[in-house]
Formats: sequence, C-alpha cells, structure tokens
Amino acid sequence: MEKIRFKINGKEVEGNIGESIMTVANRHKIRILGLCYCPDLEPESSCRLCLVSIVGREGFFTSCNTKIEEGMEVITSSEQIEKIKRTNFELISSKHLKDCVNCRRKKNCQFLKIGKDYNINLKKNDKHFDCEKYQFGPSIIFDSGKCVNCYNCIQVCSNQGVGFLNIEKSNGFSKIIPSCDNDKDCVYCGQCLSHCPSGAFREVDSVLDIERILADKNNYVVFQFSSALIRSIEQELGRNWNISFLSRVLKKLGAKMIFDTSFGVDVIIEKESKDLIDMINTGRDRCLFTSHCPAWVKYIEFYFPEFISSLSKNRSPHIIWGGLVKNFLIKEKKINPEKLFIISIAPCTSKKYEILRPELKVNNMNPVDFILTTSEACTLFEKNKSILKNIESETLENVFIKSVNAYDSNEDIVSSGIKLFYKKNTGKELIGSQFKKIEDVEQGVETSININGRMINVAIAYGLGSAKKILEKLKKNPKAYDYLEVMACPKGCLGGGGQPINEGISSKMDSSFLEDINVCYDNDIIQKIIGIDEKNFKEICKTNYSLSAKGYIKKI
Amino acid sequence: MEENIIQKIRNSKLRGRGGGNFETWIKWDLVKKSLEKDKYIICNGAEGELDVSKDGYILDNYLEDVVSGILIAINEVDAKKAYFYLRSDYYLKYKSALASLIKDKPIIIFEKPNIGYIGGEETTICEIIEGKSGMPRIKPPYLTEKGLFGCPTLINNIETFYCVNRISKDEYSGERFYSLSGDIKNKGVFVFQEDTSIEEILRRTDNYPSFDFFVQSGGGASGEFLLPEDISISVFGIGSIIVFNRQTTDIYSLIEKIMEFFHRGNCDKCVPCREGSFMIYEMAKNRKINHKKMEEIIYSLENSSFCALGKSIAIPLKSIFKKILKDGKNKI
Repeated sequence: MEKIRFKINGKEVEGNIGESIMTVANRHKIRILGLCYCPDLEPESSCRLCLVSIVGREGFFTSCNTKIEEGMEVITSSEQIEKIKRTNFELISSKHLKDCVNCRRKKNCQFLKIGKDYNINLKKNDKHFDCEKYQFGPSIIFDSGKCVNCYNCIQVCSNQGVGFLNIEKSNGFSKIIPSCDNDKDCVYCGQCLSHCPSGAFREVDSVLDIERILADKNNYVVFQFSSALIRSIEQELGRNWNISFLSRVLKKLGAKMIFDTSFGVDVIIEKESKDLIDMINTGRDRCLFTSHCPAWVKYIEFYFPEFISSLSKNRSPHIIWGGLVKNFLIKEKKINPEKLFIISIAPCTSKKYEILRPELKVNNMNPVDFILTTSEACTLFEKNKSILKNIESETLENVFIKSVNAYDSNEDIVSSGIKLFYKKNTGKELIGSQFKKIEDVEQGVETSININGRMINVAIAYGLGSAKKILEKLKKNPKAYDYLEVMACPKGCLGGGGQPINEGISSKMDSSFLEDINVCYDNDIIQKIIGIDEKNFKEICKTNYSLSAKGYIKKI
Repeated sequence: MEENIIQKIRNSKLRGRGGGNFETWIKWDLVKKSLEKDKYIICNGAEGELDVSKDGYILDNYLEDVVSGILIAINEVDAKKAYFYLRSDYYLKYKSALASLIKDKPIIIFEKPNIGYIGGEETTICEIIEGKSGMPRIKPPYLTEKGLFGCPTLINNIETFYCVNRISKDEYSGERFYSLSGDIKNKGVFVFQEDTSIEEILRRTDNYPSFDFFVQSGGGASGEFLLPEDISISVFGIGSIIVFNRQTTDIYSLIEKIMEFFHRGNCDKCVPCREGSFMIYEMAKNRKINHKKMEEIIYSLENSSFCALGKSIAIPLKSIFKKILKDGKNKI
C-alpha cells in the first residue's frame, strides 16, 4: 500500500491512505487528547477535544476524522488549541455528575484522565438535574448523570444489529434512552460499557454480594475462570498476577476450590463435534450454531426466532462445569446445597443474565450463582488489598488449572473443535486448513474441510453485526454453512463488556508459570466430576431455547 | 445554439438563498458532471429561522415556479428523484396542491420531522430522508459528491429553485426576497434587487424607524447585529431584517431568546453547540453574565463546532458585544 508522509509537531511520520491524523499519531505514540475517539468506531467527533491545526490552512481540525495528506504539517498544541480544548472540557464536565470517588470506572475513565490533565475541578456536581438511571435486565446499568453525549453507545449498539439505545430530545436536551419499542431489546453484550468514555454504563454489581458470601466461613465457595483472562488482570493490576497468584488470592479470600473453565470447554468440544457428525450423517439441512455466548443466544431468540432450532443444545462451558461441580460436591462431598456457591469470573456482562435463565436449573438450583466480571474481579482484589499480604501461605491444593490445552481464545476453541471433529471422522490430523475473510461480512471468516468427500463449511462471526449478515446469507441459502460460531462482541470474549477498559490486550498468554499447578485429566477429582451417567449428563449439559420476550428495563 | 441552464445560472451570478451564499452554478455543475448513475435533488423547505417566513411567502405565491425549478434541475443533472423537503406546517398546507402539480414526475414530498432548526441543515436532511437520526454528517465529502443514499445530491433552497425557473425564462434580474420583522409597522416579505442596502429597504418599505434602533440582518437568529451607521450594506444569508427599538429592547431577553432558539433547535451532537449554547442561555436567563466564560464559549463555538449551525451562533453574540453594547446606550 502506498504510504503517506507528513509531519506531526515537526516529526516525520508515515501513514496509509485513508487514515486519520489521530490513528497515525496514536501509532507513533504522539498523544492527542480525545474523549469520544474509539479506534473501532466511526469517529463521532462530538467531544471537540482532539483539535489540531494544519500549517497553511485556516481554522482547527478534529484529528479523529481528518484524513492525512502527503506533506501536511500538523500541530497538536498551541495557545488557541489549548484554550478551546479547555473550554470544551469544562463544558463537558458541567453536565457530568462527577461522583468520581464512588465510581467503579474511576481507574480507566477517560473523562477523569482528561480532567486531571487539565487540572479541572472534578468536585461532585450537586445541582445535578434530570439524570435518570436505568437497569437493563440483570446485567447493565446506565446512569445518564455520567453521560457526556458522545453517542458511541448508540453507534456500537446499532453496529451490533441491536439498536436498543435511542436519542431523545425533549425540552432542549438530548438524552440517551433505552428503546420502548417492543421489537427492540438489549442482549446485554455490554459493548456500550466498553465504548463509554465517562463511566455512564456499568455492569450490575456483584462485588458486594460476593464479599458477603466469602465473609461467611460456613459457605463453600468455588471459583472458575478461563485462564486466558489472566492477561487482562495482569494488565490491570500488575505483572505479579499470574494464575497461581490469582489462585492464592482467591483462596485467601475464602475460595474452597478453583477450576479452569477450560474443563467445561472440553466437554462441549467433545459433544459438539459429535452433534455435528450426527447432523451430517442424518443429512440435516440446517446449520448448527454454537450457543456458548448468551448474548448471541438471546439475539437469536429475540430477533431471529426462526433460527432457534439451529442453536446447539449444549449449555455454555461455565454453566456445564458449574453444574457438574455442584453435582459432584453435593453427591460426593455432601456439601449443603444452600451453602454452596459457584462463581464464574468472566469477561462478559451477558452471563449475568444467562445464569438466571430458568431452564438451566439443575435440581432447582442455578448451576452458577454469580458472575464476577473481570473488571469487577479487579475491583474486588483492589478493595481487599490489605488482606492480600502474605498469600504465599495459601496452598494450591484444590486448584485445578489445565496445564495442556488451556484455551487462549475463542479461535483456539473453534480450531480445537474442528481438529477433533476431523480426527474423529477421518482418523487423520487436520493440517493446512485456514480461515479466510467472508466477502461483505466485516468480521467474519470461513473455511471448508473435506470430511471423507463431503465439504463441511464453517464460519466464525465476531460481533452481532457480522453475525446478522451471515444469518441473512443463511436465510437465502440454508446450506451456505454447516457450522457457525458466533461471539457477540466484535473483539471476541476478551473484548467483552465485562473486561477492564484498557489500551488492548497483549497477544499470547505466557504459560511458563503454569508449572507449579498440577492438573490434568488423570486427576482423580476431575475424573469423578465428569464421570456421570447419560441421564445426569443430559440434565446438566443440555438445554432448550424459546422465543424470548422483551427483558425488563427499570428506572433505579 | 441555446445557452444551457447552468451557463445561464452562472451568468446570472445567482448564489444559494438558503443562507450559505454559495454560487449555485458550481453545485449544479458538480452534480451534472458526476459519473455516478443515481443522483438526487433536494428542495430545502425547512425554513426554520426565527421570525422569518420568506419561503412560506414564495410557496404561497409561486408554488408552480418552484416545482418548475426542481424539474429543470432533475432534467439538467439527470437525477433519479427529487425530494421536496418541507417543514410540517408547509407540508400540511401545500401537499395536495403540490401533488396535483407534480403528478407523475419523480418528486417526493417529504415532511420534516419535529426536530428544530438543525432539521434544515443539508447533511442532516439527508440523514433524515434516509431514516436516520437528525444529526449532521462530517463534511467532506460534500453532498455534491456523496449525498443522499451516498449519491451525488444537489440541494437548494425554495427561493433558489424559484430563481432558477425565472433564469430559465430570462426573467431574473438579481432580485431577492426580504423578510422584515421586529419593531416596524410594515412587516412582511418584500422583493428588491440583491444589492439594495438595509437602509434603503427600510426606507422604501416605509419602515425606517423614527426612534433610535439597531437591526439584526442576514440569517434570522444567527444574523449579525448592526447599528444605523452600519446599514448601508446589503443583506446576506437568507435575507432577514429584524428591527429593534434601542430604548425598549432588553438585551438579556434578546440573548435569552436567541440562545433558547439554538439550545432547543440544535442537534446536541457537539460539545460547544450543545453545552455552550445552553450555558449562555442560562447566563442570560439568570441575568448574570460571566464575560470571560462567555468569550471563551463564543471562541469555541466559532472554532470548534461540528457544523455551520454552531459556528453561526457566534455571529449574533459577537456583534451584540462589539456593536450594541459598545457605546453604553444598552447595558447588561
């Protein structure tokens, strides 16, 4: 691709055709302050903070939406620029509640960061007016008092093909409101939260409940998490947070057992590849959809009910594992079910809704009792910093982390599944299968595998917007794909609404620190957990779907 | 050989009558020359400025000429369709008359939703016709390149299309419509040559005040404030002249009225326009103006607003402070 050379503050930089000044500046680590800018959205250009001037041109330009040109000279700071930025930030902050001390988002709040930069008084706004607070189902809270009208949430919700958030102007003020439309519903993906620069969106809080449960020493509390999350925790809390450190912390906080959700993934992969084989053998004419992502499941149930029968009947990995662990602990260890709590640490806000789905109950119990989002987990650990000293005394007994085949990402899971599926059908190892981008689907990839002469077409969609396009394709041609994996969030689960908001996640997990954790499948307890009969298995691992009614929205 | 219409418009020196003052022929030429298959025309009848109703007057008297102007455009640029975009009351009043004029011609009468002044901004109109929310788009791309449904679009004001029709019949000679209101006895819409001075217009309509006064001229609420010694110039923008009695006009109320208009009529997308106009409105309403803050907001509106609406708010405010409040006759 042809490169464009230009200057930012006298420094020679290089960018590609079509890139904005902001994009190139960020890549060159030149900081241009901006509140509404999100690299994965079209620039809203609403905050008017990222202003720059260009030598030889009149006026000021927002760097988020001004395209680079050969030879242009960009200046990012001057007396006039600073004056406007300061005025605009003061205007933005005049409306914000500024209850920063009590705000869960304070650690990664772009609004707060800029306020500090400009030394602007961020005292709580006492004479605040007109700030409704909503709760969307059991997952998400929107506090309009912290909204700075950047409209990123509207854009991302619409990109998701959901369009649950609207702008309403009344009495001169524009407000973000949840849709009253009966055919619009939130699927709780939490992308609004990931793209909010001012903390107006957050997950429904579970930290206090979990602290309460951990404080009661009669409770038997089990944690599970996917080891891939450690990267996010490490990025948020510091380098010493490896998996064994995290496990010791959870033990210190009162956890009795700790599991890697990957065990649940293994159960699914095994089952799903069997389902796919059955499907092919019986010549079923529809595509099989993965169902581990609760936002995707809700999306299908609410927006595309005609595809409900395509959803895999397997429950999601943490629900399966929660159910299996509860079954084991109650039956084998005689733990009082009322004192038994399973908590999943997850990158996901939609799972807060998933765990309450009535059809997932086993013996009238929820398989998982609480979801602690990764971001909430970090809050929990920070709040309890004082008791986290001397955690070396905690042993790693009853900590079960997979040392091999821990899944690093969803792509990992899907390719493992396909490999297993291939091996079972052909007896050979799958080599050389590669995913390529699907035409006209921004974030979708596809591949075909030859299984004994029959081509199996597999697609993966990142983000509901892309998934929707594949659904449209399947409506026209039901045989376009045989297997469809969807993650509701455009960056996959590690870009979920429950993740700490930060600059991005480092690429691969460092597995060297796994050595001191002992687990594999030959472990006795793991064998007992998964070694259940078919009837029990069905009750714990299978589920059904139905047309979804609109979830509740309440003013709080 | 007969002169083509774009050449005729060029020779007539017609500039858009919607406030932008852009040379009409250039827009027409750009859209005509575009190689895209689908092109659109929009006739902007949103007329949303405070105390201005010259487009309403044209609809009342020259509806057929406006439609003819649109048809000339459709023909000239080879447009697929034209949208006649009208504010609600105009829509209700003229839709049946328009329908019988349009017949089977590709002109769609479109009712502007109830979204205030911003609903007349050209990129916002495209968004609205496309069924999206009423917020402006980033320019460039300009509408002549990527407008309605991503296609080259020619948008002109009602008066501009009226003028084009006259140009086509060689009847146009540089006249325009003026909307006169405020503290005068003969309010209404008048026609004069476009180089006529404000003073002359006031005198010839028998409206020149006998009392000390000032005027706001150009674009309704976003027009510039002028003292009697400055009114030997002609009128820009949409041709509005509002006269104020200097003795009886309360400047706080005036700023309050203007800023309430912008606070309610803007789209609330960008910070200076959304929060800035509200803050100035509050200051005026509370009769407590923080001059330093006001000056900062005006500077920010002028230099960092997303669209022309925000930038235009600076014009009346700056001229009130520079002109009307300068000599001490009016105080705040």
